[in-house]
Amino acid sequence: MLFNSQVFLIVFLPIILVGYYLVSANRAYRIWFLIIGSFVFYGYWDIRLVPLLAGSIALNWTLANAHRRWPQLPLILLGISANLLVIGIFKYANFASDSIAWFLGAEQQRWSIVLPLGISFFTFQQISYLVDTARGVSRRYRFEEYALYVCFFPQLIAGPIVRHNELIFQFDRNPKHRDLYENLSRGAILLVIGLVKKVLVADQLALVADPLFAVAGLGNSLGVVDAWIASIAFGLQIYFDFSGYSDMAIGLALMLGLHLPVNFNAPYRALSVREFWRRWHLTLSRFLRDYVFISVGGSRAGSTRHMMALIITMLLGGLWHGAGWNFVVWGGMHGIALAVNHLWTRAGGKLGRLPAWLATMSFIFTTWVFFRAESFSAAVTHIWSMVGSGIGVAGDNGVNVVDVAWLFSVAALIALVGPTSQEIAREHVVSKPALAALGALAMAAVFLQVGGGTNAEFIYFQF
Amino acid sequence: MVWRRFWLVFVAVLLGALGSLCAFVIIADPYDTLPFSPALEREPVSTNQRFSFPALAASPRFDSAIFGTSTTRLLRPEKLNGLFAARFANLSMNSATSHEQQRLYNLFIEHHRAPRMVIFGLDGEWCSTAPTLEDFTFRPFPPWLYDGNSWNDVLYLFNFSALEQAGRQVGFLAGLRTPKYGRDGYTNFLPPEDQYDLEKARSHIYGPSGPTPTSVITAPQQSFSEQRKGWIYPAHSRMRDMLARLPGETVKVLMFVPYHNVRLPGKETLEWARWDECKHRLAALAADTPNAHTIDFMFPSEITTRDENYWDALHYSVRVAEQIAELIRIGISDRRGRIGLFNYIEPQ
Repeated sequence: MLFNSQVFLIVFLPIILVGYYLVSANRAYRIWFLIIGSFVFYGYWDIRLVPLLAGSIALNWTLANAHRRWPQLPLILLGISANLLVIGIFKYANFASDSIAWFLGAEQQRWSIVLPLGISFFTFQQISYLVDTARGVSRRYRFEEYALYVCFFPQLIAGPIVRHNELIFQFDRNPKHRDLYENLSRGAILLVIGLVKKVLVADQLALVADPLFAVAGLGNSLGVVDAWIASIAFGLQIYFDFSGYSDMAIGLALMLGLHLPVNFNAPYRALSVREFWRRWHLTLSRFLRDYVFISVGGSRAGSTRHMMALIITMLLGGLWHGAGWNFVVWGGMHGIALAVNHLWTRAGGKLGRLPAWLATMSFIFTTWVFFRAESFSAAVTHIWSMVGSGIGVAGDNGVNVVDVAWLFSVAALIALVGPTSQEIAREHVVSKPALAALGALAMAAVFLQVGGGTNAEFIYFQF
Repeated sequence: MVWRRFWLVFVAVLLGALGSLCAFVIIADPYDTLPFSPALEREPVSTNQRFSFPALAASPRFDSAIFGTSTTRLLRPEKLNGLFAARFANLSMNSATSHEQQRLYNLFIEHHRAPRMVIFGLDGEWCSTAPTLEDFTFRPFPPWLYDGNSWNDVLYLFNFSALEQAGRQVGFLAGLRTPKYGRDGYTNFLPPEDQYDLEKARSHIYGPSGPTPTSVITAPQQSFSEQRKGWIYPAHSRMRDMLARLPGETVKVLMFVPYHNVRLPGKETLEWARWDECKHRLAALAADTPNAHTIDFMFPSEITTRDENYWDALHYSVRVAEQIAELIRIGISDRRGRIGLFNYIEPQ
């Protein structure tokens, strides 16, 4: 079920809120209530995937506990391998077989494999728990605590990627404490902000980006203006889509008295690629740093090793996003950019704020093409179009610059100026009834907007 | 306590707003299908007939109906009522696919088990030999209005589109707006007759280059006999199903609509043979059905060769529509055609 759907907003969420607070006095009841609710939420998409999620939780919890008892056995390795095997089959099998077939010059019929929603998120979250268990930095949790940590519906499908030690301890606290109404209110405002970002901004930007990328996906080149419009539209779309989703997830959790980590901090204000990754998808950056970057050498084993670690980490980060060479290239480009950025800084290189911002954004928005393009060759054609080598063949799909100018202006203004949604919800929203009424009316407007049957899924659901 | 008030205001305003919207759309009932809305004389408000015609299809005010596309929308129910002593609804929908027509027809049949008369307007969709036919066009199609359960319709009314239609409906009910569409589905979508401009119509019919002589391939007709056997018309199985749902006493008319001559294939061309085969196969279906008649206006005739009868190559004038209604009556009663006007197709 989508957060931006009427069934979620008018049926699921009220039932969860009322039920949760009715049983909140009893710790076990409220945990099990949220587990059941989360499985209903997950099974609503495809009931066949519920056993996979349940089995994954049970296996990882069992192996982590078994490791505590028999640390000499390679159980953690077994667990990590099992997780990678599952994600490998569901997400990467076709990619791997296609690549091998291409290398051998053979034809490969793609297997019909359903990609379970959120598999990248809940698998990696559990790998982090196994690694922490091996490192001896995790507690032993009861099964229901661990299960809720993994399946908690606000973050199950697309994050934020939460650590066990920043969520599970919160389950102890009865949400009916003195912050109850503040949490409900601030959470609701974050939910509304996220919905507005998704429905009224991201989905409108998709109407600009999608037709142009579709043209490029057919192997056609675009006019230089259309190529840039497509890239900018998608860059803004993915920001509003994903940060909107994160706002909703954090807001929903807050309404249940639970705090999730912030995932975005105005990334398009970054003045370097390095800063961008400190502002974009923060919980993934944190995961990659702690479980990949450090494992492959980190920053303390010499400059060359550091550069290689950066590039390898970002290559894997790219692959985490999607099973395709365009994602690998996207990740690789960011890895190289981070390495160059690091060398530049170490060499004392400096740029003014505006040139630094322009250089950073040019790189970010150009590389988004690889992320969004329907194939690697389409991405290359698109990039060539952006430097003016293409002949515009968008035809009816071509867009009028003036038509999209207002949309870009509004989106850019929100992205570049003013407080972030987290700042609004946590600092700027004061307990004024007028603000509450405004938020409620915005929620009602979104409710009507998503009732048209055209509510789009979130981009990050595919990962 | 201040946050408690914030939360209560948020919930109260949200519930108030959603409750008001809910009450408004239920009272307005924009598509006139809700079983629990107040009984009011509502109008078909949506310009997309796929939304506004399900209510007409279910209405007990009618015992007969016309199904088709814009090429039959000008058949006036009042005229047909007089000719056939029936109560017609014109349920023709612009550019409707055969699938959409069947969905609306099924809804009509569920509410009218033994209709008096049904007219099927047949055009290109019914004679297509494409391997698969599209079920829908780019126009939105609301399956929930066709599922036979009007109790769940309210779930689909909480959106800006339905709200806009509800506003229109209230405008009609309050007498602030003039209905564009008749309560029997009929709409004269053409400009007033006094604005008819033959030269302009010709430019629509023939395009900017004007009339061009039709190139006729003079291959003998029988040379297509082998091809004919291989042609499959996917929509015909739909028509078979639709006819099978009608009782024997219902008068059924399969009417090939009068395209302007410019849209008709040259005689004895492959395309002509494709149409000819289609007509005879549908006539054979009709022959297997009691009380069914196949009437063909789709050939070079006194109607289809006169530019002044058309606004464009597909849409004839109101005057021609009235004439067609009368010719249908003649066809049914005589069981034969009128030379130069229409053919009554007997199965081969």
